[in-house]
Amino acid sequence: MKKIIIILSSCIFLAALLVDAGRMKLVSPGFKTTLLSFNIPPGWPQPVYDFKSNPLTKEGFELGRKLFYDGRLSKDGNFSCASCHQQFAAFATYDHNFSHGFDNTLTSRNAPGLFNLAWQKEFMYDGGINHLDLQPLAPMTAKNEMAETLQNVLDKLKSDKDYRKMFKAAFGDETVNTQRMTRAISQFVLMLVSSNSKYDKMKRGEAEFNLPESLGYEIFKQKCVSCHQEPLFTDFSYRNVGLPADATINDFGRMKITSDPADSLKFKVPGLRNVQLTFPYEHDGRFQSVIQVMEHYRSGVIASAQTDPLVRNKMKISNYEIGQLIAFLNTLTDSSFIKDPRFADPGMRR
Amino acid sequence: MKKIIIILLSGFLFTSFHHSSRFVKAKHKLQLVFHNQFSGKEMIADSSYQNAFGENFILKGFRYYISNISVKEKNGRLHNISAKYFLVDMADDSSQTIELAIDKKDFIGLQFMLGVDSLRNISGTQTGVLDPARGMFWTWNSGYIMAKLEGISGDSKANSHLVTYHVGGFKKDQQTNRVINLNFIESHELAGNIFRVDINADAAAWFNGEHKIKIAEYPICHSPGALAVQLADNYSKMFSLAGIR
Repeated sequence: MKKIIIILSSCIFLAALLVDAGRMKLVSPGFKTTLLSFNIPPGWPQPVYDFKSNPLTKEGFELGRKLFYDGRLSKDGNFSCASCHQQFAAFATYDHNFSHGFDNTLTSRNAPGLFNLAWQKEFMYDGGINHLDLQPLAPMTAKNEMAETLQNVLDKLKSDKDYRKMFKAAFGDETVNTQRMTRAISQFVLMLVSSNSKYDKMKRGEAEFNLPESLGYEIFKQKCVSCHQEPLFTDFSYRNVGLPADATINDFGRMKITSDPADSLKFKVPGLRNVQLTFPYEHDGRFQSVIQVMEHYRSGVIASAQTDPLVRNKMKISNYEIGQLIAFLNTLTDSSFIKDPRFADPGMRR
Repeated sequence: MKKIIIILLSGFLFTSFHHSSRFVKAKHKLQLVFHNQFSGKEMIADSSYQNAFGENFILKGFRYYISNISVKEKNGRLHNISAKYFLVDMADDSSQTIELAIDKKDFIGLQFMLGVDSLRNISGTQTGVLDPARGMFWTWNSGYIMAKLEGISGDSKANSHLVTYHVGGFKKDQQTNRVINLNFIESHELAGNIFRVDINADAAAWFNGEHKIKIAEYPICHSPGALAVQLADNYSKMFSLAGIR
């Protein structure tokens, strides 16, 4: 009798435990990820991205990488993120003022390079997007870019066995939603850290500038650094630099977001890292070369009430200085970044 | 031996108690049932309605976020009963009833928010009804569309005679979420366990309220700003109590 009671009660006890385990299983089915470390280059500020809400993992990064290179995120399958953000151009569109979108359309702005995004608080030239995770939604749904609906993108991903597997590996189960998709893309682009240019090596004592480069650096620190602050070479402010609006686009920049006339024709100060690769320049790619940009600052500025005081009266830059400045700007090219196999198309073998 | 049995049995009792405590249920249920209307008439997609200015309007869509639901106790104190978000959609019957657990059954009013509070507008991609794939999010100027009213009107000068009011904005001077208070005429004490509150949401108020918004003048609202704020002021008055059971 005693034995029976013991057996029975232990059975009940075990059953209760099993039910418990069953519930646990729903939450975490032996779910394990490999954490990736994010290294802040020496001397750089703390990143603004909240890594706690989206911890970097190998699985999340690889999912984001696959998404970044997948044309199925667009309506007709032809336009991936990477079609406008090319690694060899530091993830800008090489040699294009505007990028090509769905059905023979053009974008209305020049595609910026993608790197060091963990330090950036607002996105787009007008700062309209307030979180890195939300950024991919704009090109995916824009009629002149990828032209797809978010629901269609999610449906395509859900119907793909490989994606379901990768979502499970990254997030614990096969649920595909916008949050997971965009967090995975963020994990990929957050890892795009460009900090290995000659400039960086010089700062670390691993390389030395030649004479034009060091002269250019000194001129840069006198004339450019108030907007293009080191080490990211931007202060992330929005400024009107006296570029009149293109009448075919009528892009007034930040004013569209704030509805404040004081923000007319203000655009985000671009970082200058990899500037040699990201031509043409300005928000609409109107200048083909750095020389043209500098020519604008010394002779082309068309001042309006909103034009930045730093450039309103045109800058004094000599031909000699332009030459040295260009030598310096070329030290900002990170050739290891644009060849880093971690960031390449996962479907390609190198 | 007895000891062993006692230990085992208490172990069993402990685990079962553990389970039940995890599923503590509030004693009562609050049901909010939204009745979407236009000038007192039930909303039916593709039906025609008329606003206060005599403008005819063929209805295509009507959706809005509800959140931060509180009940007002007899002593006037607000008691938050849900931090969840709900998207009430004219096209989805199940979205029009919100069911929540409450532990009180004696209260004198109700408060909720129409819209999405600012924190959710700046915290990256959300899930559930707040998933941007639900079509209530502006991708180019981050932020939620708090409410949408869509249709077609001969008085609209927009393309295809569209009337499209997508109302959003959460920054200073652009705020479009609104706190709604519905006070009961008398304190309601309930005999049963389900407390049902029927609420009318009348979209005619979008046009005719504190601000007079004519389709002929303003057929489209697609961004945060002055027009969106005016529409929000108007829709803050679209709710009324239809009944309490």
